[in-house]
Amino acid sequence: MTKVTTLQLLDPLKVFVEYDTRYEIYVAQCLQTGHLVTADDPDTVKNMIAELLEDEVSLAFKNNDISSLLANPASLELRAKWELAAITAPEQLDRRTIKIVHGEVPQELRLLLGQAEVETAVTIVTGRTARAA
Amino acid sequence: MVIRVLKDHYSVVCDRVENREYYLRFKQLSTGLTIQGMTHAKGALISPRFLLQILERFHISIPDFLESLNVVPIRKQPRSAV
Repeated sequence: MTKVTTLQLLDPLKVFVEYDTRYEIYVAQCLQTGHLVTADDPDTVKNMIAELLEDEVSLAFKNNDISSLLANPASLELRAKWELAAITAPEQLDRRTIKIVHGEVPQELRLLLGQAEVETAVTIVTGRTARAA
Repeated sequence: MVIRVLKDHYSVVCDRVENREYYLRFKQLSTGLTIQGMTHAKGALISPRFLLQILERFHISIPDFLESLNVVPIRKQPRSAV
């Protein structure tokens, strides 16, 4: 029987990178953990989120506190944007690995960075309709 | 300034990581809620996007925070922008 570890549940970590036209900055946010970083160019913001996630996931494992790590995920809208980017331009997904100190041996965790070339807006339709009173 | 307001008005303390001044770990002492992040481009400023996320995490409304920001006296000594 294959044993599923907690680390496997986080693999891959998904990150969405987009340009915020209001503040004129690049923003990278992890879908599962909600961690967010900003910079003036996409390469810097990708390196920053990789560094942050490497540290925070390692710390969560060290403290045996995965629930806190996953307590504040990104919005549904951002998840939809990532999925849209992954479907429409899978070749543009930036695939990286980060080293996680989990137990005595460092392990690798995949990082999938989706990116929108332009600012996108996703509307979530719930299917609910207003009923007249 | 932001870090001082968070500490003085909302009991949110910021732990710095040694040799990485850009690394920010906030914790609200009254609730135990936490959030981690970095300054914008590892510089001296917190970006508005991260600030909004911090306020949301600690359930601080934007008008309330702006009001708190206005009542903080300006220090004469030059300090870090964050």
